[in-house]
Amino acid sequence: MLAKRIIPCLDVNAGRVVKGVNFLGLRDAGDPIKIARVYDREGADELCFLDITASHENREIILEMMFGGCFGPEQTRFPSTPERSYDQSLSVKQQKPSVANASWWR
Amino acid sequence: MVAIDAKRAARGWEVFTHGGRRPTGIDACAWAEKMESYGAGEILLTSMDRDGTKEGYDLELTRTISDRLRIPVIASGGAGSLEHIYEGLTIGKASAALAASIFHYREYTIMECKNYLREREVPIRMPAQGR
Repeated sequence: MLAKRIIPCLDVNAGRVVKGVNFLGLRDAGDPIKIARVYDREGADELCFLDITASHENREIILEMMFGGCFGPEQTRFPSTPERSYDQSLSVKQQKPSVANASWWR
Repeated sequence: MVAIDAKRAARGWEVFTHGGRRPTGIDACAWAEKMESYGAGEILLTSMDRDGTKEGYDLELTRTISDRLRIPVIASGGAGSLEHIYEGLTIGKASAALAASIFHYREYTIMECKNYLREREVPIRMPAQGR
């Protein structure tokens, strides 16, 4: 049987991780890069970044935050990722992670 | 990967778009099957009813769609405890469990979650030594 995966999900809005209830009442949960690094270090199988307002605001998803991080496989909500940008994110992924010693990310 | 945001309807579940703002009138089960037939490799299945509530995944939704598809389904929306994650992977038959609140607010670490599942004989990939 294939291993079951644990995937922390980072809902991102305006460059911050947020979390709501029933998709409403968003609360700030911290910096996406710092949070993602902690999950990567802790052994998450994948990370899921959701740019939760891209469709509503009728714009492309924001990939820049991933360029600053160095993680395992990412997933993004929309498959229409610009190819060039995705290549950049892949090249960043292959770099050695420089993990900050932040045990808390606020 | 196709993400589906689903909300309980009079019958079954309805697909919403635009961050839950727009109802589509599309049945979530039928949509998931269609996405698989179009070549989707995986479904991220989020219960809007459970999102952020920490009441547990919508196991009926997760199981219904997992049973109908061959591709992996990721359970999402509602995980509030490690037991919920266990249930999503067993009762819900999901291939993966997605969670936000319990990890963001440091209620559990990833390893606490994985150890809990491993003790209950769920196949889990443990990270390499020295990470």
